[in-house]
Amino acid sequence: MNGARFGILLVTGSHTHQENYAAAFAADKRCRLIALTDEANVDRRRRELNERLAKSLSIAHIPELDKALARKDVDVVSICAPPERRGRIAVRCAQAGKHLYLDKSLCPQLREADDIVAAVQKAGVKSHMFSFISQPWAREAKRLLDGNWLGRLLAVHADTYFAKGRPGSAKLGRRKEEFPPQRHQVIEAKREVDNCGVYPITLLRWLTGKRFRSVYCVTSNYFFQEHQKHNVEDFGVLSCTMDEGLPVTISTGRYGWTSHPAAGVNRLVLVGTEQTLVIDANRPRLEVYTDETPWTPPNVHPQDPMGFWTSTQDEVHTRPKTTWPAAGPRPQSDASYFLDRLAANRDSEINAAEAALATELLVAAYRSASQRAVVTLPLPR
Amino acid sequence: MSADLYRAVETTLASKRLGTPVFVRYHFHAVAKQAVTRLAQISATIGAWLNQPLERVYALGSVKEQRIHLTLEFQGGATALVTWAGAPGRGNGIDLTVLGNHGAIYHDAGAGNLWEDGAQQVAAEPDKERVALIERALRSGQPEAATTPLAPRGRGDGGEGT
Repeated sequence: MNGARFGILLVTGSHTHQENYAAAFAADKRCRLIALTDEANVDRRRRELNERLAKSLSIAHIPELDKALARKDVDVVSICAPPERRGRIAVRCAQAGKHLYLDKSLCPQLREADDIVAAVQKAGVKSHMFSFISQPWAREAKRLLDGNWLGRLLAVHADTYFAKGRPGSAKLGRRKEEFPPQRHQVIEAKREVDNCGVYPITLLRWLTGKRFRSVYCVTSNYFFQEHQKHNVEDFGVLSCTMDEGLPVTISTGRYGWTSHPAAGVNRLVLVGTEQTLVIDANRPRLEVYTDETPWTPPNVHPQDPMGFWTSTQDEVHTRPKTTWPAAGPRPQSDASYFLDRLAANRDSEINAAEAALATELLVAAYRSASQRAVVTLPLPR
Repeated sequence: MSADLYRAVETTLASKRLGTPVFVRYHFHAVAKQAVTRLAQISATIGAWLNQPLERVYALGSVKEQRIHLTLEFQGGATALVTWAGAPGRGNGIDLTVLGNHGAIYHDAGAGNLWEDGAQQVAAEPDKERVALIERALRSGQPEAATTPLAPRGRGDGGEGT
């Protein structure tokens, strides 16, 4: 380590979650942003977006990943490459002896996930995938479950919806899922079972300590023609079993700016033999109604119609939703959580191995949706 | 009381404010007696809200386990998750989300004890085809197709809440 400070290398720049992750690292006094890099052969658009974020952060742009990884002052690499490039980049960073801060979901393919886990273990580095586990509501759910307040857990139901994008343009009907998925992310759309669903999947594994054993999944196009055009789903339902037959259901997806007074539903119902616990990320809250102009969706940004990125939403002057201000404890940033673990020489609770379990369930879910059949886990290698 | 809730949902759906309904999440707590029958009635009601015939059912759990989860697939591509728990809930209320392609309905019964306790009523006439389909899905542990798609059955024609 660089004294008490962690040197952070960013992989990929603007129009990724790196905009948020870099800001979180920069806000932590234990960190110093070193540079921004990527694979040398990225296209011109990606290179310009990389240069843009590096410039805005006043850090160097190093076009070649290996050259950046050779720097001794880099301790942690924050990787936000598009899903299809994440696997090989994460392996190279681990092989270079750097700790990994990983965008979600880990990667699209099971072999890539296994390779990341193996590289991390071999290099002896620490890793963490972005998740909700540092949120106060998630911590409270964990505390209550670990304290056996609910009795024996009978079932869990999780809903995670992102209230972004202008809905109503999808042509309704049955979706025919492909397997393996050919793409996870394009400019206009992401696979939302992967993109949104990874949160409840990761949470359920973390909360219960159990592994997923089967999944039945249905993917759909309910809201956005942008998703439909690229043959990626905007919504999905999963009915799963975990160890000891614990059944869980998940519904997840992106459903439009105006379908929720805040950022969207993010809710767990934990059914125990003694009590049922509802964990709602939007509680506790205030409800504020005034004579201000009602919130309206922003104009559509041509490079980001679904509202994925902070910079694009700033460019179209997206107003914050203010009807439900949070009234709970302030959350710790996910980046700060990982730095705490590094400082204590402890691995993250959502390390690469845990993230790979989520990848395995997501791969199984897409296979289930394509076959319209139950898929059991672990998947054959 | 569930009839009142259903009426409110149906009025809202009829207003077209949500556009076309595409997904329903329905969670309820009740005693085990007639759980499968109630699930069949609820699936009929949801089919009526979605206005699509029920095509496939995937079921997890059992009455003995005090939990049953249904994944419902409808002919026009709509889906629903209907989940029952025999364990104690926070009141007897119904936890309901209905998503349309232009908006959403939320009925949150999970955050407090609700005044509509005791709302759970079983309709006099169970829907035998739906009961049989759910029982078949519970036995097989696999997604089960309806022999013929089961047409929507709303309140007033033997569905839930009559």
